[in-house]
Amino acid sequence: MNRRTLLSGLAAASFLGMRGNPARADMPGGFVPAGHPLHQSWQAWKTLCLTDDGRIVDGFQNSASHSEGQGYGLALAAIFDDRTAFDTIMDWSDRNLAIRDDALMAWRWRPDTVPQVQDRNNASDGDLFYAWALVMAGARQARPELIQRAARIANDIVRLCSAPHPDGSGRLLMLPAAMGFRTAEQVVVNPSYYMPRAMRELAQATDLPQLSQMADDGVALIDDLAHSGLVPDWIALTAQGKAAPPANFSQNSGYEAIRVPLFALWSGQPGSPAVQNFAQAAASGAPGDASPVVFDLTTRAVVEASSHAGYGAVAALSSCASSSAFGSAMRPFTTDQPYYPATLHLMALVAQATQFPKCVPI
Amino acid sequence: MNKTTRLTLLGLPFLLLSGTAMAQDIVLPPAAAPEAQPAPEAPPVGQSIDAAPAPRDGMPEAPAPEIRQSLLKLRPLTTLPEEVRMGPSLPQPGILRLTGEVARTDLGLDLPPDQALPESLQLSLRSAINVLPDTAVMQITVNDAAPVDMPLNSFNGFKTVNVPTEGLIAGQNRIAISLRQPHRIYCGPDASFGVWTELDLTRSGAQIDQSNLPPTAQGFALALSQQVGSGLPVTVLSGDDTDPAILRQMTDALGTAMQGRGWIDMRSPYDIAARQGPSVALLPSDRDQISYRLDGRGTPTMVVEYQGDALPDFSLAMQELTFPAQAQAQMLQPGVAQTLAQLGQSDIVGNTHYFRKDVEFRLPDDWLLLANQKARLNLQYGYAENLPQGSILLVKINDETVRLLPLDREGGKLLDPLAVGFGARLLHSGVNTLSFEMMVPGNPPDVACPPRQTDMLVVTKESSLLVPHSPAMQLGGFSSALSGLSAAGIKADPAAAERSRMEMAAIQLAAGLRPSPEPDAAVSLTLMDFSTLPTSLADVSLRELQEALFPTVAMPAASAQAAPPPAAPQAPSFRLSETAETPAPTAEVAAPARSWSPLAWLHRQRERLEKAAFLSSGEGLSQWLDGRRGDALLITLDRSQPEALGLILGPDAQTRGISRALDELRSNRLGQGAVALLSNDGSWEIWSPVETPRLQERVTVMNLFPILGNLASWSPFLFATMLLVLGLISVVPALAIVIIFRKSRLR
Repeated sequence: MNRRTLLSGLAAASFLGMRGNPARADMPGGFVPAGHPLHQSWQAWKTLCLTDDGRIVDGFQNSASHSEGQGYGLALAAIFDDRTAFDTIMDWSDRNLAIRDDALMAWRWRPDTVPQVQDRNNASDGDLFYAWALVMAGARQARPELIQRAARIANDIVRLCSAPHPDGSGRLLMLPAAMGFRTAEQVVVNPSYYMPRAMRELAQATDLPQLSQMADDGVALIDDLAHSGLVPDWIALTAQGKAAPPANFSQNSGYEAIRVPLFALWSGQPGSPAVQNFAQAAASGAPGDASPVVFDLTTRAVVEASSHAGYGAVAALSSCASSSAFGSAMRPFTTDQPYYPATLHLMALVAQATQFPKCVPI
Repeated sequence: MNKTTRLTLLGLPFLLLSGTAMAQDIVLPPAAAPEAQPAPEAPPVGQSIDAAPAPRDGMPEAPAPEIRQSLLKLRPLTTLPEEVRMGPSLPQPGILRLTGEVARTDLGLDLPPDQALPESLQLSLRSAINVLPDTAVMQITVNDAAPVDMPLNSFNGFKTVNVPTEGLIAGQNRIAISLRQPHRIYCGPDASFGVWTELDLTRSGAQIDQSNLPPTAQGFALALSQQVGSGLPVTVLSGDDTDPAILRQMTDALGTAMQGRGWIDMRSPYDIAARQGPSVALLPSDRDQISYRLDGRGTPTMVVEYQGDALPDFSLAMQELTFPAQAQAQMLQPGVAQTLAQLGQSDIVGNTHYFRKDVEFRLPDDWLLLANQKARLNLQYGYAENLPQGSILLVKINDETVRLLPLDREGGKLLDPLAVGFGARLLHSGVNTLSFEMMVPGNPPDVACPPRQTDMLVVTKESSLLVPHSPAMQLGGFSSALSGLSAAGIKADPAAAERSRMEMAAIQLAAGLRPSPEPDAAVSLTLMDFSTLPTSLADVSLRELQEALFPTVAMPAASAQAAPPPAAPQAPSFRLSETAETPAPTAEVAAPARSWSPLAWLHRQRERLEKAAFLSSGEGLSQWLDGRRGDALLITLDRSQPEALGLILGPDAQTRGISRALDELRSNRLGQGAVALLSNDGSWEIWSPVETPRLQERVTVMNLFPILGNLASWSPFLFATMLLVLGLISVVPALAIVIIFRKSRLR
């Protein structure tokens, strides 16, 4: 059996595996079928974030684009089976970000600088979502070349963005990027860069056990962090264990870490302590209120709140999925928010529709 | 297992799942990825952590959440008209407009017990640019507290103001709002319509700590009543796969609780369109439960969880939601003079240069007078002295003017009672309207009105109305069936091509149907499209029906071969003489040529005779429909089953408009025909076949003449023919006597 055959077979097997999950029985493979009312939200998200040429714009960051946004957008396009959007996003990303010597993408593109990519470092979450999107679309659209491309990215994530835990336990960590987050003494990790489902499906489709191990170790790391409180935005890991990240990194649990419960839910883990902890902490905000987003790690006191509906949607889904309740206080998608909360909002709705039908918005 | 077999086995699932690849093998291009498993290559180790995370989101300064305030909203205490009128109206859902130089309305505000009382009211206001600033003022009176005056100066969109008040109490509060808003330039009836102030009811009320408002049935009921009172729809959330029967059970119960006053807006839970007010969410679940929660907007939501194909017991929940029954127009007893006070009307005081007040009353369902009997209004009224010349008061019955009274002489006092007689045939069974319409010109009209110290018009509540007795008779048609229609009787045609649209329309119409005082379970209304045509429309072709109900489409450009239509005569754009009228287009061009052949003359006479023969449409349904346009057609499905009604919906039919029109047709009982076409303007055009009035009591000496009068008025032709025949028959014995006597004399 040559590698090409193996790839296609594994991709199909992965797709089969997705179909076989009874939690997603009504939406095979976690895709949102045509005609589902959530497509209206996808169209609205595109209007808000996606330009005609396939660039996903983060208005808050001076209209910059990142590999993260391109990866998120590509994954959503695959989930909504929007081939036009998918090809457009891929085309722009390939032309503007896939400029490294490896299969990874430069992390940021700015419209107002020359050159527009000033730092060729990557962001591993962007690459991860990008590769996952390629696997999903490759299987659904019968485009094996996409799966091959995903394999190359996955290989480079493992090759360039992984490192053993400094404590010598043999656990494999996912670095936030190929450069800049590792010294001889410590590794700085962003727990929200782990998307267990994406990592496992990518590992399965591309036959990369290291990626699968990285997902398992990541989940274990997150569980460990959550057992002692809220999951931080950033964490430094040393031979002695956990430590605070450098001073220029967030010392709280906030805009980064909010993705941890979201991705855990999307990965079908409503029992994750990260979900439970976040749901409890966010419960201090009343529905319709500005939703608490940034918490002090020690006291759990609310440091910042945001009226952007996307954050409230993650909190409401966490609360519903981790309880026996039916119906969640998620708001329907709204374009009255910037790229980041809007994207989290749409992802939360996709996670709800595909994983937790009982948590339908009320 | 050889290589080929392995290939096939591994590729099979992929092929099975990839629809587009079903018919072809997948041939992967040469992979750029290395064939061998990559050896993990340690990423570079730096001297320091030199990466810098990007900032997130746009609200870094957002403070931690404070105590959230929730707005308890104001609601109108009476049902307001949706069309703009003098005084209060609801021209848009949630927007209360007060029109006229002076206007007044009462609003309700419900505050929870055992809570700190708000010290101010929040009002979101805007006024027409015509309103004279500095002079215009709103006076707010909360319960019995001293009124608070507030200048009106928001002319560029809604502005929120806080009005301090000390009069609020726990429970129900009455907020009286009075306006004085003179026109800044003009004075007169037109200027009255030019001045208005709007109150956004969705943003007006009292702020209260949300933590003191846990979601309860009472809180939901209050929010529901505010929503309905403001003319806003109640959202029902349900998934696309919800069983329509389950959905219908719930919306019927909700509609009944709202007394048919509410309007239901069906939505998907994922619908991104903004929604206001409380919602009801229908969720399939593993339990039967009704609970009250706050949705993502912090708005009360009733969550109905159900399992299987039955809803949980609604009765208790609906008891808490049920609105008080709406007061109906008072019944006027024929033959007895009844004062306006007895009809529920207090003194009518008019203070705007255009003023109109409608007084509604009901007549029994079997009241019918078609002849020239007289009804009488004994009018006690007065008006201010020195009203400008040309000031008039119109007295109207069902929008028909029955008396014009001058108001520009002998004013300043209540006048002696004036008997205003009018034809009783202007009245009908069901709800009738007596209107007083005043028009006072400006003096002069192009200067702002001077402030007035006196009221312009008063019609006292002692004015009385006398309507004569009628024999118990009814005209044919579907008005009786319609009045017995209940929500459960409204259903979608199972054979409709647009089944889901019909079901949604049935749900909305049923929920918006006011309860019938005498519901008849046998009456049904089937919503249908063009896919099945009932037997009662056998004479009408599908094309004719589509032409009547489809929106008018612009004709495509004429083909080159088509003959151009004759040029229409154009109205002259000039006038040469101040006295002589510009000649009209010649009759030959303006009107089709009129044939004077004996045959054509006979044809015309026959048509005239047919039209005058009966109190009916005088033409076949097919002819009647020709040229008419509307949104929906109400029919009797089968002439032999008058209780089975059908409503054919055109493609552009708006269910809310249909619901309103249907409700009006029920209350005024004007559905005296077999087919009713709902026009785009919301009015009904009725086609009635020849059908004699039905007598519902025995003929006696007392009622003989009114019965004959009704029959004669229903068909003068038939009545005259009958009299002629009777006359001829009565001549026969006389002739016989003459002949017999002549014969005997000749002998």
